[in-house]
Amino acid sequence: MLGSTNGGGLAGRRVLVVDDDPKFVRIAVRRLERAGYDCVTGESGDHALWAVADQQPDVIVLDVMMPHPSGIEVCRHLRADGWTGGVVVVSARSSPADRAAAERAGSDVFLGKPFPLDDLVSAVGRLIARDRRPA
Amino acid sequence: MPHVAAVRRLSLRTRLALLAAAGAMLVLSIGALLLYRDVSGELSRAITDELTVRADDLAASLDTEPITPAPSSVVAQVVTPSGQVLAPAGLAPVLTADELARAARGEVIVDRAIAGVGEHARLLAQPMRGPVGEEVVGVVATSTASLAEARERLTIVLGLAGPVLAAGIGAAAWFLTGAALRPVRRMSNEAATISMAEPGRRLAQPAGDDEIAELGRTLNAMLARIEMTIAHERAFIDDAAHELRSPLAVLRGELELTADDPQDAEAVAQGVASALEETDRLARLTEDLLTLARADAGQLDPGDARTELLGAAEECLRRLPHRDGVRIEVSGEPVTVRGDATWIHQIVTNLVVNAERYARSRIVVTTARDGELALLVVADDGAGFPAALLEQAFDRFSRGDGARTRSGGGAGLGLAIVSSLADAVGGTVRASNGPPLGGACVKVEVPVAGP
Repeated sequence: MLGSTNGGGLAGRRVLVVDDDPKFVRIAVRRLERAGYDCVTGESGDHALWAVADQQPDVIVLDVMMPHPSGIEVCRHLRADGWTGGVVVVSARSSPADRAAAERAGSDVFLGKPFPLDDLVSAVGRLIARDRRPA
Repeated sequence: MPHVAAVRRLSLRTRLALLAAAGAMLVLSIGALLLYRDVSGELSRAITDELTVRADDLAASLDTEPITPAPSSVVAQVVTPSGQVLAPAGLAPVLTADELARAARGEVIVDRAIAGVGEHARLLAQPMRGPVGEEVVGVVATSTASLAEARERLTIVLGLAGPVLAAGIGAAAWFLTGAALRPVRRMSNEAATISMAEPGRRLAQPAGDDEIAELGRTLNAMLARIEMTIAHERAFIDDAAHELRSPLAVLRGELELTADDPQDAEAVAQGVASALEETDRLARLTEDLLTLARADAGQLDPGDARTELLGAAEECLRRLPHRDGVRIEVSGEPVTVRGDATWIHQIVTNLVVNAERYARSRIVVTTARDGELALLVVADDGAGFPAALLEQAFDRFSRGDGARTRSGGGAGLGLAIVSSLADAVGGTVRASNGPPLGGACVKVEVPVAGP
Protein backbone atom coordinates (compact mmCIF):
# COMPACT_ATOMS: atom_id res chain seq x y z
CA MET A 1 0.00 0.00 0.00
CA LEU A 2 2.73 2.38 0.96
CA GLY A 3 4.62 1.52 -2.18
CA SER A 4 1.71 2.10 -4.47
CA THR A 5 0.84 5.56 -3.06
CA ASN A 6 4.42 6.61 -2.58
CA GLY A 7 5.68 5.56 -5.97
CA GLY A 8 3.94 8.16 -8.11
CA GLY A 9 6.30 11.07 -7.66
CA LEU A 10 4.56 12.55 -4.63
CA ALA A 11 7.59 14.40 -3.30
CA GLY A 12 6.69 18.01 -2.68
CA ARG A 13 2.96 17.32 -2.75
CA ARG A 14 1.62 19.14 0.26
CA VAL A 15 -1.45 18.27 2.33
CA LEU A 16 -2.96 20.60 4.96
CA VAL A 17 -4.72 18.73 7.78
CA VAL A 18 -7.06 20.87 9.91
CA ASP A 19 -8.94 19.45 12.92
CA ASP A 20 -9.41 20.74 16.47
CA ASP A 21 -8.64 17.23 17.78
CA PRO A 22 -4.81 17.18 17.94
CA LYS A 23 -4.77 13.39 18.23
CA PHE A 24 -6.68 12.96 15.00
CA VAL A 25 -4.38 15.48 13.28
CA ARG A 26 -1.31 13.55 14.47
CA ILE A 27 -2.71 10.23 13.20
CA ALA A 28 -3.75 11.61 9.79
CA VAL A 29 -0.42 13.37 9.35
CA ARG A 30 1.53 10.25 10.27
CA ARG A 31 -0.36 8.13 7.78
CA LEU A 32 -0.11 10.73 4.99
CA GLU A 33 3.62 11.22 5.62
CA ARG A 34 4.13 7.48 5.42
CA ALA A 35 2.38 7.68 2.06
CA GLY A 36 4.95 10.27 0.99
CA TYR A 37 3.16 13.59 1.38
CA ASP A 38 4.43 16.73 3.06
CA CYS A 39 1.96 17.75 5.72
CA VAL A 40 1.13 21.00 7.44
CA THR A 41 -1.48 21.29 10.18
CA GLY A 42 -4.02 23.67 11.65
CA GLU A 43 -6.50 23.45 14.52
CA SER A 44 -9.17 25.98 13.58
CA GLY A 45 -10.92 27.48 10.58
CA ASP A 46 -8.82 30.63 10.82
CA HIS A 47 -5.63 28.53 10.78
CA ALA A 48 -6.89 26.75 7.68
CA LEU A 49 -7.51 29.97 5.73
CA TRP A 50 -4.15 31.37 6.75
CA ALA A 51 -2.29 28.12 5.95
CA VAL A 52 -3.82 27.79 2.48
CA ALA A 53 -2.55 31.25 1.60
CA ASP A 54 0.81 30.76 3.28
CA GLN A 55 1.65 27.10 2.59
CA GLN A 56 0.02 26.57 -0.84
CA PRO A 57 -1.17 22.99 -0.17
CA ASP A 58 -2.35 20.75 -3.04
CA VAL A 59 -5.09 19.18 -0.94
CA ILE A 60 -6.66 20.11 2.38
CA VAL A 61 -8.26 17.68 4.84
CA LEU A 62 -10.90 19.64 6.77
CA ASP A 63 -12.87 18.67 9.85
CA VAL A 64 -16.38 20.20 9.93
CA MET A 65 -16.93 20.86 13.64
CA MET A 66 -14.13 23.28 14.43
CA PRO A 67 -13.77 26.55 16.24
CA HIS A 68 -14.93 29.42 14.11
CA PRO A 69 -15.26 29.28 11.17
CA SER A 70 -16.41 25.70 10.59
CA GLY A 71 -14.86 23.43 7.95
CA ILE A 72 -17.86 24.01 5.66
CA GLU A 73 -17.41 27.78 5.94
CA VAL A 74 -13.68 27.45 5.20
CA CYS A 75 -14.41 25.36 2.09
CA ARG A 76 -17.05 27.81 0.84
CA HIS A 77 -14.68 30.71 1.42
CA LEU A 78 -11.79 29.04 -0.44
CA ARG A 79 -13.95 28.16 -3.44
CA ALA A 80 -15.37 31.70 -3.51
CA ASP A 81 -11.78 32.95 -3.63
CA GLY A 82 -11.14 30.70 -6.64
CA TRP A 83 -8.96 28.13 -4.89
CA THR A 84 -8.99 24.95 -7.02
CA GLY A 85 -7.08 22.44 -4.87
CA GLY A 86 -8.68 19.26 -3.57
CA VAL A 87 -10.81 19.37 -0.41
CA VAL A 88 -11.46 16.26 1.69
CA VAL A 89 -14.07 16.90 4.37
CA VAL A 90 -13.96 14.59 7.40
CA SER A 91 -16.73 14.65 9.99
CA ALA A 92 -18.27 12.64 12.78
CA ARG A 93 -21.61 13.91 11.48
CA SER A 94 -22.23 12.07 8.26
CA SER A 95 -25.95 12.21 7.56
CA PRO A 96 -27.07 12.75 3.94
CA ALA A 97 -27.76 16.41 4.89
CA ASP A 98 -24.20 16.81 6.23
CA ARG A 99 -22.77 15.28 3.04
CA ALA A 100 -24.95 17.50 0.86
CA ALA A 101 -23.86 20.63 2.78
CA ALA A 102 -20.20 19.72 2.26
CA GLU A 103 -20.79 19.13 -1.45
CA ARG A 104 -22.64 22.42 -1.85
CA ALA A 105 -19.72 24.20 -0.18
CA GLY A 106 -17.44 22.81 -2.91
CA SER A 107 -15.72 19.83 -1.26
CA ASP A 108 -14.52 16.94 -3.42
CA VAL A 109 -14.62 13.99 -1.02
CA PHE A 110 -16.56 13.35 2.22
CA LEU A 111 -15.30 10.82 4.77
CA GLY A 112 -17.48 10.00 7.80
CA LYS A 113 -15.53 9.32 11.01
CA PRO A 114 -14.39 6.71 11.86
CA PHE A 115 -12.94 5.67 8.49
CA PRO A 116 -9.99 3.51 7.39
CA LEU A 117 -6.88 5.71 7.01
CA ASP A 118 -6.30 4.08 3.61
CA ASP A 119 -9.51 5.78 2.42
CA LEU A 120 -7.98 9.14 3.33
CA VAL A 121 -4.71 8.32 1.56
CA SER A 122 -6.45 7.14 -1.60
CA ALA A 123 -8.82 10.16 -1.61
CA VAL A 124 -5.84 12.53 -1.34
CA GLY A 125 -4.03 10.53 -4.07
CA ARG A 126 -7.03 10.77 -6.43
CA LEU A 127 -7.34 14.53 -5.95
CA ILE A 128 -3.63 15.12 -6.62
CA ALA A 129 -3.78 12.89 -9.72
CA ARG A 130 -6.80 14.90 -10.93
CA ASP A 131 -4.96 18.19 -10.51
CA ARG A 132 -1.91 16.88 -12.37
CA ARG A 133 -4.01 15.83 -15.36
CA PRO A 134 -3.84 18.39 -18.15
CA ALA A 135 -6.99 20.46 -18.37
CA MET B 1 -68.85 -11.03 33.14
CA PRO B 2 -69.22 -12.44 29.65
CA HIS B 3 -72.33 -10.45 28.68
CA VAL B 4 -70.67 -7.19 29.77
CA ALA B 5 -67.69 -8.05 27.58
CA ALA B 6 -70.05 -8.86 24.70
CA VAL B 7 -71.76 -5.45 25.06
CA ARG B 8 -68.37 -3.71 25.12
CA ARG B 9 -67.48 -5.40 21.85
CA LEU B 10 -70.39 -3.59 20.18
CA SER B 11 -69.68 -0.20 18.65
CA LEU B 12 -70.58 2.89 20.68
CA ARG B 13 -73.12 3.76 17.98
CA THR B 14 -74.83 0.34 18.29
CA ARG B 15 -74.80 0.54 22.07
CA LEU B 16 -76.36 4.02 22.09
CA ALA B 17 -79.06 2.92 19.58
CA LEU B 18 -79.85 -0.18 21.66
CA LEU B 19 -79.93 1.90 24.82
CA ALA B 20 -82.29 4.44 23.23
CA ALA B 21 -84.58 1.63 21.98
CA ALA B 22 -84.59 -0.11 25.37
CA GLY B 23 -85.26 3.16 27.17
CA ALA B 24 -88.07 4.01 24.78
CA MET B 25 -89.54 0.53 25.20
CA LEU B 26 -89.53 0.89 28.99
CA VAL B 27 -91.17 4.35 28.93
CA LEU B 28 -93.74 3.26 26.31
CA SER B 29 -94.59 0.10 28.28
CA ILE B 30 -95.20 2.07 31.47
CA GLY B 31 -97.26 4.59 29.47
CA ALA B 32 -99.28 1.83 27.80
CA LEU B 33 -99.99 0.14 31.14
CA LEU B 34 -101.19 3.42 32.69
CA LEU B 35 -103.32 4.19 29.61
CA TYR B 36 -104.81 0.69 29.65
CA ARG B 37 -105.63 1.00 33.33
CA ASP B 38 -107.24 4.42 32.91
CA VAL B 39 -109.32 3.63 29.82
CA SER B 40 -110.37 0.22 31.06
CA GLY B 41 -111.23 1.60 34.52
CA GLU B 42 -113.27 4.42 32.99
CA LEU B 43 -115.32 2.04 30.81
CA SER B 44 -115.83 -0.33 33.72
CA ARG B 45 -116.99 2.52 35.97
CA ALA B 46 -119.49 3.67 33.33
CA ILE B 47 -121.05 0.17 33.23
CA THR B 48 -121.24 0.01 37.01
CA ASP B 49 -122.78 3.51 37.12
CA GLU B 50 -125.42 2.42 34.62
CA LEU B 51 -126.21 -0.68 36.70
CA THR B 52 -126.50 1.49 39.82
CA VAL B 53 -128.98 3.80 38.09
CA ARG B 54 -130.96 0.78 36.89
CA ALA B 55 -130.92 -0.71 40.36
CA ASP B 56 -132.27 2.58 41.75
CA ASP B 57 -134.99 2.56 39.07
CA LEU B 58 -135.83 -1.02 39.98
CA ALA B 59 -136.06 -0.16 43.68
CA ALA B 60 -138.40 2.75 42.85
CA SER B 61 -140.56 0.58 40.64
CA LEU B 62 -141.17 -1.89 43.47
CA ASP B 63 -143.86 0.45 44.87
CA THR B 64 -146.11 -0.42 41.97
CA GLU B 65 -148.11 -3.62 41.56
CA PRO B 66 -147.38 -5.82 39.81
CA ILE B 67 -143.57 -5.50 39.74
CA THR B 68 -142.57 -4.69 36.16
CA PRO B 69 -138.95 -3.78 35.57
CA ALA B 70 -138.63 -1.11 32.90
CA PRO B 71 -137.57 -2.62 29.58
CA SER B 72 -133.95 -1.75 28.66
CA SER B 73 -130.68 -3.37 27.71
CA VAL B 74 -130.36 -4.16 31.35
CA VAL B 75 -131.80 -7.43 32.63
CA ALA B 76 -133.59 -6.90 35.94
CA GLN B 77 -134.92 -9.43 38.40
CA VAL B 78 -136.49 -9.30 41.84
CA VAL B 79 -136.05 -12.33 44.09
CA THR B 80 -136.98 -13.17 47.65
CA PRO B 81 -134.16 -13.91 50.12
CA SER B 82 -135.12 -17.57 49.77
CA GLY B 83 -134.46 -17.47 46.01
CA GLN B 84 -137.97 -17.27 44.61
CA VAL B 85 -138.16 -15.05 41.52
CA LEU B 86 -140.87 -12.45 42.04
CA ALA B 87 -140.45 -10.73 38.68
CA PRO B 88 -140.33 -11.22 35.88
CA ALA B 89 -142.29 -14.34 36.82
CA GLY B 90 -141.26 -17.65 35.39
CA LEU B 91 -137.54 -16.92 34.89
CA ALA B 92 -134.74 -18.91 36.47
CA PRO B 93 -132.93 -16.98 39.24
CA VAL B 94 -129.80 -15.10 38.06
CA LEU B 95 -128.05 -15.17 41.46
CA THR B 96 -126.33 -18.23 42.87
CA ALA B 97 -127.21 -19.15 46.45
CA ASP B 98 -123.96 -17.63 47.69
CA GLU B 99 -124.46 -14.41 45.75
CA LEU B 100 -128.06 -14.21 47.04
CA ALA B 101 -126.93 -14.64 50.64
CA ARG B 102 -124.33 -11.86 50.25
CA ALA B 103 -126.79 -9.58 48.36
CA ALA B 104 -129.32 -9.91 51.18
CA ARG B 105 -126.72 -8.27 53.47
CA GLY B 106 -125.50 -5.57 51.05
CA GLU B 107 -124.58 -4.59 47.49
CA VAL B 108 -122.80 -7.25 45.39
CA ILE B 109 -121.13 -6.69 42.00
CA VAL B 110 -119.99 -9.76 40.05
CA ASP B 111 -118.49 -10.13 36.57
CA ARG B 112 -119.34 -13.46 34.99
CA ALA B 113 -121.23 -15.17 32.17
CA ILE B 114 -124.98 -14.74 32.65
CA ALA B 115 -127.58 -16.76 30.73
CA GLY B 116 -129.61 -14.48 28.48
CA VAL B 117 -127.03 -11.62 28.79
CA GLY B 118 -123.85 -13.07 27.40
CA GLU B 119 -120.41 -14.49 28.00
CA HIS B 120 -119.14 -11.18 29.35
CA ALA B 121 -121.61 -9.70 31.81
CA ARG B 122 -121.83 -7.85 35.14
CA LEU B 123 -124.56 -8.07 37.71
CA LEU B 124 -125.40 -5.77 40.59
CA ALA B 125 -127.60 -7.14 43.39
CA GLN B 126 -128.74 -5.28 46.51
CA PRO B 127 -131.35 -5.58 49.24
CA MET B 128 -134.59 -3.67 48.55
CA ARG B 129 -138.06 -3.23 50.09
CA GLY B 130 -140.99 -4.92 48.28
CA PRO B 131 -144.43 -3.29 47.72
CA VAL B 132 -145.54 -4.20 51.22
CA GLY B 133 -142.24 -3.51 52.87
CA GLU B 134 -140.94 -7.07 52.74
CA GLU B 135 -137.23 -7.73 52.16
CA VAL B 136 -136.37 -8.64 48.60
CA VAL B 137 -133.18 -8.62 46.50
CA GLY B 138 -133.08 -6.59 43.30
CA VAL B 139 -130.71 -7.81 40.56
CA VAL B 140 -129.70 -5.87 37.46
CA ALA B 141 -127.24 -7.22 34.90
CA THR B 142 -125.83 -6.00 31.62
CA SER B 143 -123.40 -7.14 28.96
CA THR B 144 -119.73 -6.11 29.31
CA ALA B 145 -118.84 -7.36 25.81
CA SER B 146 -118.01 -3.80 24.73
CA LEU B 147 -115.59 -3.45 27.65
CA ALA B 148 -113.87 -6.75 26.83
CA GLU B 149 -113.66 -5.75 23.20
CA ALA B 150 -112.21 -2.34 24.05
CA ARG B 151 -109.62 -3.96 26.33
CA GLU B 152 -108.67 -6.42 23.61
CA ARG B 153 -108.30 -3.63 21.05
CA LEU B 154 -106.20 -1.55 23.47
CA THR B 155 -103.92 -4.52 24.16
CA ILE B 156 -103.35 -5.07 20.43
CA VAL B 157 -102.75 -1.39 19.63
CA LEU B 158 -100.43 -0.77 22.58
CA GLY B 159 -98.65 -4.10 22.14
CA LEU B 160 -97.84 -3.30 18.52
CA ALA B 161 -97.26 0.44 18.80
CA GLY B 162 -94.76 0.13 21.67
CA PRO B 163 -92.18 -2.03 19.88
CA VAL B 164 -92.63 -0.16 16.58
CA LEU B 165 -92.07 3.20 18.27
CA ALA B 166 -89.11 1.85 20.25
CA ALA B 167 -87.54 0.48 17.06
CA GLY B 168 -88.11 3.85 15.39
CA ILE B 169 -86.45 5.71 18.25
CA GLY B 170 -83.56 3.20 18.18
CA ALA B 171 -83.12 3.76 14.43
CA ALA B 172 -83.24 7.54 14.89
CA ALA B 173 -80.60 7.26 17.63
CA TRP B 174 -78.47 5.11 15.29
CA PHE B 175 -78.54 7.72 12.52
CA LEU B 176 -78.09 10.71 14.83
CA THR B 177 -75.20 9.07 16.70
CA GLY B 178 -73.64 8.15 13.37
CA ALA B 179 -73.83 11.76 12.26
CA ALA B 180 -72.48 13.03 15.57
CA LEU B 181 -69.62 10.52 15.59
CA ARG B 182 -68.66 11.02 11.93
CA PRO B 183 -65.94 13.61 12.76
CA VAL B 184 -64.58 11.22 15.40
CA ARG B 185 -64.48 8.39 12.86
CA ARG B 186 -62.75 10.70 10.38
CA MET B 187 -60.16 11.72 13.00
CA SER B 188 -59.66 8.07 13.94
CA ASN B 189 -59.01 7.13 10.29
CA GLU B 190 -56.66 10.09 9.90
CA ALA B 191 -54.81 9.28 13.14
CA ALA B 192 -54.29 5.71 11.91
CA THR B 193 -52.37 6.99 8.89
CA ILE B 194 -50.20 9.48 10.81
CA SER B 195 -46.67 8.31 11.40
CA MET B 196 -43.53 10.06 12.54
CA ALA B 197 -42.28 9.81 8.95
CA GLU B 198 -44.41 12.90 8.30
CA PRO B 199 -43.52 15.32 11.07
CA GLY B 200 -45.87 18.27 11.34
CA ARG B 201 -48.91 16.36 10.08
CA ARG B 202 -52.00 16.99 12.18
CA LEU B 203 -55.64 15.87 12.29
CA ALA B 204 -58.09 18.06 10.37
CA GLN B 205 -59.60 20.27 13.05
CA PRO B 206 -63.42 19.75 13.20
CA ALA B 207 -65.35 23.00 12.78
CA GLY B 208 -67.12 24.64 15.71
CA ASP B 209 -66.39 24.78 19.39
CA ASP B 210 -68.09 21.63 20.66
CA GLU B 211 -66.68 18.57 22.43
CA ILE B 212 -65.58 17.01 19.12
CA ALA B 213 -63.65 20.16 18.17
CA GLU B 214 -62.08 20.15 21.63
CA LEU B 215 -61.10 16.49 21.15
CA GLY B 216 -59.45 17.46 17.86
CA ARG B 217 -57.52 20.28 19.51
CA THR B 218 -56.44 18.04 22.40
CA LEU B 219 -55.25 15.28 20.06
CA ASN B 220 -53.32 17.75 17.90
CA ALA B 221 -51.68 19.26 20.98
CA MET B 222 -50.72 15.74 22.06
CA LEU B 223 -49.23 15.01 18.62
CA ALA B 224 -47.17 18.21 18.87
CA ARG B 225 -45.85 17.20 22.30
CA ILE B 226 -45.00 13.67 21.12
CA GLU B 227 -43.27 15.09 18.06
CA MET B 228 -41.22 17.47 20.18
CA THR B 229 -40.16 14.65 22.51
CA ILE B 230 -39.16 12.47 19.55
CA ALA B 231 -37.23 15.34 17.94
CA HIS B 232 -35.47 15.92 21.26
CA GLU B 233 -34.61 12.19 21.53
CA ARG B 234 -33.38 12.07 17.91
CA ALA B 235 -31.19 15.12 18.41
CA PHE B 236 -29.78 13.56 21.57
CA ILE B 237 -29.05 10.25 19.82
CA ASP B 238 -27.53 12.11 16.87
CA ASP B 239 -25.29 14.19 19.14
CA ALA B 240 -24.36 11.13 21.19
CA ALA B 241 -23.42 9.17 18.04
CA HIS B 242 -21.31 12.10 16.87
CA GLU B 243 -19.51 12.33 20.22
CA LEU B 244 -18.83 8.60 20.19
CA ARG B 245 -17.52 8.63 16.59
CA SER B 246 -14.74 11.15 17.30
CA PRO B 247 -12.87 9.02 19.89
CA LEU B 248 -13.62 5.95 17.76
CA ALA B 249 -11.94 7.63 14.77
CA VAL B 250 -8.81 8.27 16.85
CA LEU B 251 -8.90 4.76 18.32
CA ARG B 252 -9.20 3.21 14.90
CA GLY B 253 -6.42 5.44 13.51
CA GLU B 254 -4.05 4.54 16.34
CA LEU B 255 -4.71 0.81 15.85
CA GLU B 256 -4.20 1.09 12.08
CA LEU B 257 -0.90 2.95 12.47
CA THR B 258 0.30 0.41 15.04
CA ALA B 259 -0.69 -2.49 12.81
CA ASP B 260 1.04 -0.88 9.81
CA ASP B 261 4.37 -0.66 11.58
CA PRO B 262 4.52 -3.11 14.49
CA GLN B 263 8.34 -3.01 14.56
CA ASP B 264 8.54 0.60 15.71
CA ALA B 265 8.44 -0.03 19.48
CA GLU B 266 8.18 3.65 20.40
CA ALA B 267 5.34 4.27 17.98
CA VAL B 268 3.55 1.14 19.19
CA ALA B 269 3.84 2.27 22.83
CA GLN B 270 2.57 5.74 21.93
CA GLY B 271 -0.29 4.29 19.88
CA VAL B 272 -1.36 1.93 22.65
CA ALA B 273 -1.22 4.72 25.26
CA SER B 274 -3.28 6.98 23.03
CA ALA B 275 -5.77 4.16 22.30
CA LEU B 276 -6.16 3.59 26.05
CA GLU B 277 -6.82 7.30 26.56
CA GLU B 278 -9.51 7.21 23.88
CA THR B 279 -11.03 4.12 25.50
CA ASP B 280 -11.24 6.06 28.79
CA ARG B 281 -12.79 8.97 26.94
CA LEU B 282 -15.38 6.63 25.40
CA ALA B 283 -16.11 5.07 28.79
CA ARG B 284 -16.58 8.50 30.41
CA LEU B 285 -18.76 9.63 27.57
CA THR B 286 -20.89 6.48 27.76
CA GLU B 287 -21.27 6.99 31.52
CA ASP B 288 -22.33 10.61 30.99
CA LEU B 289 -24.84 9.63 28.32
CA LEU B 290 -26.27 6.97 30.62
CA THR B 291 -26.59 9.49 33.45
CA LEU B 292 -28.53 11.83 31.15
CA ALA B 293 -30.70 8.99 29.83
CA ARG B 294 -31.52 8.04 33.45
CA ALA B 295 -32.32 11.69 34.20
CA ASP B 296 -34.71 11.75 31.21
CA ALA B 297 -36.38 8.58 32.45
CA GLY B 298 -36.70 10.08 35.95
CA GLN B 299 -34.42 7.35 37.33
CA LEU B 300 -31.74 9.52 38.94
CA ASP B 301 -32.12 8.62 42.59
CA PRO B 302 -30.02 10.52 45.11
CA GLY B 303 -31.10 8.03 47.79
CA ASP B 304 -31.82 8.84 51.41
CA ALA B 305 -28.20 9.54 52.33
CA ARG B 306 -27.08 13.01 53.45
CA THR B 307 -23.74 14.61 52.79
CA GLU B 308 -22.01 17.63 54.25
CA LEU B 309 -21.36 19.82 51.22
CA LEU B 310 -18.15 21.65 52.23
CA GLY B 311 -16.40 18.48 53.42
CA ALA B 312 -17.45 16.58 50.31
CA ALA B 313 -16.18 19.38 48.02
CA GLU B 314 -12.79 19.44 49.84
CA GLU B 315 -12.51 15.66 49.65
CA CYS B 316 -13.41 15.68 45.95
CA LEU B 317 -10.83 18.36 45.10
CA ARG B 318 -8.09 16.47 47.00
CA ARG B 319 -8.69 13.51 44.70
CA LEU B 320 -9.09 15.42 41.44
CA PRO B 321 -5.95 15.79 39.26
CA HIS B 322 -5.29 19.51 38.76
CA ARG B 323 -4.13 21.57 35.83
CA ASP B 324 -0.78 23.18 36.46
CA GLY B 325 -0.85 26.90 37.02
CA VAL B 326 -4.42 27.01 38.33
CA ARG B 327 -4.98 27.43 42.07
CA ILE B 328 -8.20 26.10 43.54
CA GLU B 329 -9.49 27.48 46.84
CA VAL B 330 -12.32 25.93 48.85
CA SER B 331 -14.09 27.79 51.66
CA GLY B 332 -17.49 28.42 53.21
CA GLU B 333 -19.77 27.05 55.89
CA PRO B 334 -20.69 23.41 56.42
CA VAL B 335 -24.19 22.58 55.26
CA THR B 336 -25.83 19.16 54.92
CA VAL B 337 -27.73 18.26 51.78
CA ARG B 338 -29.60 15.23 50.46
CA GLY B 339 -27.70 12.73 48.30
CA ASP B 340 -24.65 10.55 48.86
CA ALA B 341 -21.05 11.75 48.56
CA THR B 342 -20.72 10.38 45.00
CA TRP B 343 -23.61 12.61 44.01
CA ILE B 344 -21.86 15.72 45.37
CA HIS B 345 -18.49 14.63 43.97
CA GLN B 346 -19.95 14.38 40.49
CA ILE B 347 -21.39 17.90 40.71
CA VAL B 348 -18.15 19.40 42.09
CA THR B 349 -15.96 17.46 39.63
CA ASN B 350 -17.95 18.52 36.57
CA LEU B 351 -18.00 22.17 37.64
CA VAL B 352 -14.29 22.31 38.53
CA VAL B 353 -13.18 20.40 35.41
CA ASN B 354 -15.21 22.82 33.31
CA ALA B 355 -13.75 25.85 35.16
CA GLU B 356 -10.20 24.53 34.75
CA ARG B 357 -10.58 24.56 30.98
CA TYR B 358 -11.13 28.30 30.95
CA ALA B 359 -9.50 29.61 34.16
CA ARG B 360 -6.36 31.69 33.83
CA SER B 361 -4.92 31.04 37.28
CA ARG B 362 -7.61 30.79 39.93
CA ILE B 363 -10.80 28.93 40.82
CA VAL B 364 -12.82 29.41 44.00
CA VAL B 365 -15.30 26.89 45.37
CA THR B 366 -17.56 28.19 48.15
CA THR B 367 -20.43 26.72 50.11
CA ALA B 368 -23.06 28.63 52.11
CA ARG B 369 -26.48 28.32 53.63
CA ASP B 370 -29.27 30.71 52.67
CA GLY B 371 -32.36 29.84 54.69
CA GLU B 372 -33.52 26.43 53.53
CA LEU B 373 -31.11 26.42 50.57
CA ALA B 374 -27.56 25.17 50.40
CA LEU B 375 -25.36 27.05 47.91
CA LEU B 376 -22.37 25.73 46.02
CA VAL B 377 -20.55 28.31 43.88
CA VAL B 378 -17.72 27.53 41.47
CA ALA B 379 -16.12 30.60 39.89
CA ASP B 380 -13.02 31.15 37.76
CA ASP B 381 -10.96 34.07 36.44
CA GLY B 382 -11.22 33.07 32.78
CA ALA B 383 -13.04 34.87 29.97
CA GLY B 384 -16.46 33.73 31.17
CA PHE B 385 -19.27 32.20 29.14
CA PRO B 386 -19.72 33.74 25.68
CA ALA B 387 -22.81 35.98 25.97
CA ALA B 388 -24.69 33.90 23.38
CA LEU B 389 -24.07 30.72 25.37
CA LEU B 390 -25.07 31.97 28.79
CA GLU B 391 -28.70 30.90 28.28
CA GLN B 392 -27.73 27.48 26.89
CA ALA B 393 -24.85 26.77 29.26
CA PHE B 394 -26.69 23.76 30.71
CA ASP B 395 -27.99 22.39 27.41
CA ARG B 396 -26.56 19.08 26.29
CA PHE B 397 -23.64 19.18 23.89
CA SER B 398 -23.41 22.97 24.20
CA ARG B 399 -19.84 24.20 24.03
CA GLY B 400 -18.08 27.47 24.45
CA ASP B 401 -17.12 28.05 20.84
CA GLY B 402 -20.08 26.74 18.90
CA ALA B 403 -17.99 23.77 17.82
CA ARG B 404 -15.80 21.28 19.58
CA THR B 405 -12.92 22.31 21.73
CA ARG B 406 -11.20 18.99 21.61
CA SER B 407 -8.13 20.50 23.22
CA GLY B 408 -10.44 21.29 26.16
CA GLY B 409 -11.65 17.72 26.09
CA GLY B 410 -15.33 18.25 26.86
CA ALA B 411 -18.29 16.86 24.99
CA GLY B 412 -20.54 19.56 26.40
CA LEU B 413 -22.26 17.22 28.84
CA GLY B 414 -20.65 18.20 32.16
CA LEU B 415 -22.90 21.17 32.98
CA ALA B 416 -25.97 19.37 31.61
CA ILE B 417 -25.27 16.56 34.07
CA VAL B 418 -24.83 19.04 36.95
CA SER B 419 -28.21 20.49 36.05
CA SER B 420 -29.83 17.03 35.99
CA LEU B 421 -28.23 16.02 39.31
CA ALA B 422 -29.35 19.25 41.00
CA ASP B 423 -32.81 18.90 39.52
CA ALA B 424 -33.13 15.37 40.93
CA VAL B 425 -32.84 16.74 44.50
CA GLY B 426 -35.15 19.66 43.80
CA GLY B 427 -32.37 22.17 43.17
CA THR B 428 -31.42 24.63 40.42
CA VAL B 429 -28.27 25.86 38.68
CA ARG B 430 -27.48 29.30 37.27
CA ALA B 431 -24.60 30.52 35.15
CA SER B 432 -23.30 34.07 35.12
CA ASN B 433 -20.21 36.10 34.28
CA GLY B 434 -18.41 38.56 36.55
CA PRO B 435 -18.10 38.38 40.33
CA PRO B 436 -16.40 37.02 42.31
CA LEU B 437 -13.36 36.47 40.02
CA GLY B 438 -14.43 38.22 36.83
CA GLY B 439 -14.85 35.02 34.83
CA ALA B 440 -17.57 32.37 34.74
CA CYS B 441 -19.59 31.65 37.87
CA VAL B 442 -21.92 28.68 38.35
CA LYS B 443 -24.23 28.68 41.35
CA VAL B 444 -25.95 25.45 42.46
CA GLU B 445 -28.85 25.77 44.92
CA VAL B 446 -30.22 22.63 46.54
CA PRO B 447 -32.57 22.26 49.51
CA VAL B 448 -30.91 21.71 52.88
CA ALA B 449 -31.49 18.12 54.12
CA GLY B 450 -34.31 17.95 56.66
CA PRO B 451 -33.68 16.97 60.30
